[in-house]
Amino acid sequence: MGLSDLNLRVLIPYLPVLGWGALRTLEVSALAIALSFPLGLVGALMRLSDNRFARSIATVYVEVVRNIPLLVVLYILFLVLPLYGIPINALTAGVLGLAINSTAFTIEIIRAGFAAIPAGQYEAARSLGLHRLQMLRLVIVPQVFRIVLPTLGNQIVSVVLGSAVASIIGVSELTYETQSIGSSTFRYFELFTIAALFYIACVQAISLLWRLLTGRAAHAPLGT
Amino acid sequence: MLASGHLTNYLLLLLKGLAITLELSLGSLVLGSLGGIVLGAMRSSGWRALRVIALAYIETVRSIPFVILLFFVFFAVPLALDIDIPPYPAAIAALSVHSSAYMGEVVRSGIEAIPKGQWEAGASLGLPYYRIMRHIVLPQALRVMIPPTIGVYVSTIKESSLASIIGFVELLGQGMAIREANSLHNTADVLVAVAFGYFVVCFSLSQVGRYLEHRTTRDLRPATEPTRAAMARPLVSGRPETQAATIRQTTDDRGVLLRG
Amino acid sequence: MRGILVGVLALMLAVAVLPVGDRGAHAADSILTDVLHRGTVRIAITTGAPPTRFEDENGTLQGYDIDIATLLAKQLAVTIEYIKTDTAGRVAMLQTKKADITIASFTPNLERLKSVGFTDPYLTDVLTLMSRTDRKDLGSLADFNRSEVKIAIARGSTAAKAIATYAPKATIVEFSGNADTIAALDAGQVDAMCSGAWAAARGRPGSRRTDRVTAPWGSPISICGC
Repeated sequence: MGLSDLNLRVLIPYLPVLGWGALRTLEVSALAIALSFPLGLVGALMRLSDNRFARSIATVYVEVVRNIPLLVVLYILFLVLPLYGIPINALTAGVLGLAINSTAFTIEIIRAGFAAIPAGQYEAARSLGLHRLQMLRLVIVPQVFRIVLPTLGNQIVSVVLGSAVASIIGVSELTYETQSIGSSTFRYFELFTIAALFYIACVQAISLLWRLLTGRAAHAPLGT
Repeated sequence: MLASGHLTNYLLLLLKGLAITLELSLGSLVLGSLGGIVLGAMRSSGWRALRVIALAYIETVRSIPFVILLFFVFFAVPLALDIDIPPYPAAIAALSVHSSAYMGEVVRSGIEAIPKGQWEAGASLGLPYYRIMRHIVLPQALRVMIPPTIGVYVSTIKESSLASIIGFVELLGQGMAIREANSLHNTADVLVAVAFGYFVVCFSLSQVGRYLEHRTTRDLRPATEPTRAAMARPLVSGRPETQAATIRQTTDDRGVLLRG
Repeated sequence: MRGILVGVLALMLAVAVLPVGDRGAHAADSILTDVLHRGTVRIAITTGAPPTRFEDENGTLQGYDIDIATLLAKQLAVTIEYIKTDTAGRVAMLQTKKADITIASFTPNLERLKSVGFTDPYLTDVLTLMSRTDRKDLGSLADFNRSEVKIAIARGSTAAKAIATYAPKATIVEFSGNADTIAALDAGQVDAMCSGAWAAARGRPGSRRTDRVTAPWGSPISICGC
């Protein structure tokens, strides 16, 4: 073959399939994020709680999941759970695996956000007689939110890129379709270039949008 | 129930797989770190061309999934360039390219964390750029770079598991091969053992990183996480009226304590 | 579709690669000449497919395909250099001339003929649909031809075309290798897997053929339970 044989036109009939794959990528990522961000907040609170039991559960979860490859988690969900009577299809396993993975990292991100709040904030809130829940809700969490927003944007990108791993267990997202078409046409170079361009466009768009949406919030001075 | 008795037979094979994972990761990280240093230097250099090239490379690599990069190296490049790339070189190449992009960012932020004064001091001593980097800036930057570098290393070890899909038999690939050879039995324990293997390696590496971080950082800031005692202790003392007055004076209308 | 033919020697046709010219006049740069001149034939193979080609405990290559290759080399009076690769790599190696021929489960079809040439087949395999024996509802070919039936195949194999012909309504799920398809079948994630019978029978000593369906053109596609 060779570079002179590159031909994008032959792939035109396959573009709809790639399009559906791209949509599936976004779908899977969105679901995983929707699951993992709230769970991440809960986990972070557990990580910081007084309750030793909650603290250790959260810590163990974070340490275990962060140090295991995503593919291994997906394989366990997809191939092992059914053997123990838990029915789970490829899509569910993909979303769940991504969510489990993302939750662990989100917990760490949010926890670091809490750590960045000066002790004075807690003291002031306490001195005003606020209960723990009120203190968190009115004083601490809004500030944590502002601090972690940029990093959460990175995490969203991370999830979108991680969705590609789900192709291995048969989730028909972009990488899966790209490979599928490639194995019958052998047009791997053109196909993977197209896929790469989609991911790049996606990531850059998400980063840009995220910066725009959170820029004001992140840089607003406290008290406004 | 988990199949017992099978695991011991294949423990040796899994350990071999683990060794191969480590070998693959080590090779890629050496290349990736070298590439990262070059890229980081390019990113913070004075020449716009170098900065732009490095930025383009880093942004591109960080904006695509590793799987796509791996497939590109293994399937696409051979067909386009009329060469053959077997699984092992393809995996190393892809892992090196991927980790070099992240290392480039780590090196860049490490270099930029060094105050300008250090550069100026070096220049005033008559040292050329290369010497300043090597004797003044990089040694200090290295300290800052340790935590994120360990992060990249751990990430690369986890990514090496994806080499199993192009047929390279490392830890995960070995586990799947064992499962295939015993497909009539329940081999869930093999996958758990594989997960455990990755956990041991990655967790240990993170702990080493935390230790190094401790050893090389002087704690300049007081602890910012409030202790439970501090949260229980009232901030202002005295009768309620004076308490209220004090608080009004010292906090803004959001209840945030104003620092003097 | 014709009978599924497996285990074919692939010779790279010089026609596909060399510029059109006065081939008769010069000594052809054919692969054969190269091989004879070099004294070694480079053969790209995939392993792990007993009994046609596999490695024994000592790592020596054994199997039917290996026997054929040995015979070929003996006839040409050359030595063999085996290059281990995978399914996708074989085509690339032939095209980039890193290997002279490949001996493997390599079914000839029009798509592949665009880049490589084939000899006459020396072995016939049968594409097999394998499902679990507790699936009583999957007894005949017609049972597989429903959209809720998921069939796992290895990427790049000819199983996709066969399923499109014989069970077009079924849903195809692609995995990267036979290991993953078998794993998916065991976990119940798919209803069946489709591969050559050799690959399907491997590692499953208890499997039985439960049915053998002959399609209109006399091409067999068998169904076996495991």
